[in-house]
Amino acid sequence: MRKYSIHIGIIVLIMMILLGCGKKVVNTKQAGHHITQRVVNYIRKTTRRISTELRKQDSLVIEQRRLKNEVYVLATEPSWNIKSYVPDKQPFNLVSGMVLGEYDVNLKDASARNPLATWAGLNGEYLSQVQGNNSSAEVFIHLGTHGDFGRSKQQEKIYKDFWDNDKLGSKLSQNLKRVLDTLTVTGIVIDFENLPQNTGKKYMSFLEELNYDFPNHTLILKLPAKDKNKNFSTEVLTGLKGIIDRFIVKAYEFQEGKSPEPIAPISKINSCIQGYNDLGIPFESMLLEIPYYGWVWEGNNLDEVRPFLAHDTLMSLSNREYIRAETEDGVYFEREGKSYWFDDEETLAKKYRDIVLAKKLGGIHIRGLGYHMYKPTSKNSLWYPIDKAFGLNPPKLVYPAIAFLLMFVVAGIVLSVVWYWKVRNELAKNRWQFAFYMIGLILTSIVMACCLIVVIPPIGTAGSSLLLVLFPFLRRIKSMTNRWL
Amino acid sequence: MFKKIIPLIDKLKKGLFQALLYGLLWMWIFVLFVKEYNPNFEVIDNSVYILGYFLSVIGIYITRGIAGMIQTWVEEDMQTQRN
Repeated sequence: MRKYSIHIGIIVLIMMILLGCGKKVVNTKQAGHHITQRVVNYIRKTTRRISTELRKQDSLVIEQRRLKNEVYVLATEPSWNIKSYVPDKQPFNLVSGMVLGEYDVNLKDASARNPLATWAGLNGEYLSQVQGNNSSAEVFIHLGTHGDFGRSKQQEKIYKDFWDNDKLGSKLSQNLKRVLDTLTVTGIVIDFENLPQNTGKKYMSFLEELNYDFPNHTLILKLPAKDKNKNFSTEVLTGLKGIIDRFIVKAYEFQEGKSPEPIAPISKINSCIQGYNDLGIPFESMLLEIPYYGWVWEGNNLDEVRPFLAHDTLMSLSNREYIRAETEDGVYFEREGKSYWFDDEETLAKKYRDIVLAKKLGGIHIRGLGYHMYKPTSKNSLWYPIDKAFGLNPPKLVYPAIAFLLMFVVAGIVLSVVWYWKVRNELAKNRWQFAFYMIGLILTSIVMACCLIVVIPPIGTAGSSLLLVLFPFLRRIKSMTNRWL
Repeated sequence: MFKKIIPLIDKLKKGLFQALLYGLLWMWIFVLFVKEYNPNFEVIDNSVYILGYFLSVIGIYITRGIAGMIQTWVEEDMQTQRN
């Protein structure tokens, strides 16, 4: 019996593992069964857990997810939303940068028209929430005008006076420096709306000066949906290379007062970004602006009282009973002679997939982040399409496990030569056997490398560049597997 | 049935102690590799250690088996050539 004790032990262990893979053992209430039952159930539980770990792709909840490195998600929180912000609501981990506070320039004396809005970023609770969820999140400030300063005819003169007056420029820089230093802001989002005709070059020299005054800050320029006054020519946009780090393309509200339509139709977005690309802006430096609000139409005109409504307000008004547009790039519902058009999670997912990912844009810019609050209990949220399109997908554990086992196969092939002199002799004598041996070794190594390449995240690809150079087809396999994963 | 299993277990028994001991080293390498290469694996609980150890012990037998198999092939080939 002693002779076979180890045999019996191994057989018992194998039986327990096999039993553990089966159904849960129910309490039989028989003497001696209790311990066996607990052991078998423990093994069963562990086996199931390992099996799940091997197959599962992602166990992280949305609050713990991270963005892919190649995508930049910028979000603007208007100052009035910062004031009424309720902490612990938004998963800021899915945001790369936040625009907090607006320096609305008074074009006559370069001061801020609304100092409260300028210093809105000082709201420590909001900022600590952002940086608590995402320590690498960058903070920006919005600098610009809404193009509503003075009467429409005076607008052109006011703008020109501002561009031509150097004192105003230096005063603006001084004011801005004070704000940036106090708020520890990493960059500026520049958006001067309704620029008069042919002021593109003056705007460019203003941006050059701004870059000269703030060389260590990231500058992001917002471009209009329609460049009616032809300010952004190829010459201007080429001149901005090296000055502007990213371009936000406002790709919504293309028309006003014609007929109701989705706030951001895909066909118009495509022609808008293609137009800017033709003028010299590379796709990878574009951020597609997404509004978290919709518009309200009364007949063929925008509603005069409340032309725009926040996403959450529209959702509660609609009771989630709305119609999808035929083009699938917007949803709408009708109440009391008014039609409300906006984006839901499915239309946004389509835009992220068909535009941002398909054209390999640099990312997105969310306008009015607080117009949609994340609710952990809700199955529908505008955060889900962001997570799905731009979230990092960790690979399944099964791939490194296969690579690990294949490593032992390779080791076995190599060690057969080291351990056994007969193998060495035979390989040296017979070149066909040597060729067969080498083919086996190389094929197994390639399969192992394929399994390894899948698990390497984009951040680690730099380290595996030699592998990708040696086996260029692995790039294709990697991109294919990333899609499957 | 039992007679068929015993020789298999005898083979397994041969390097069992070494496999269990070296398995610990390879388990550590596996866990290190998984966690170093992709930080997303950090969320995995302790079952990754059990999996690593299981794979390592199996892997050590695979190495031994492959090397032995190649040796057997070569010996058989030599025998055929002699005959």
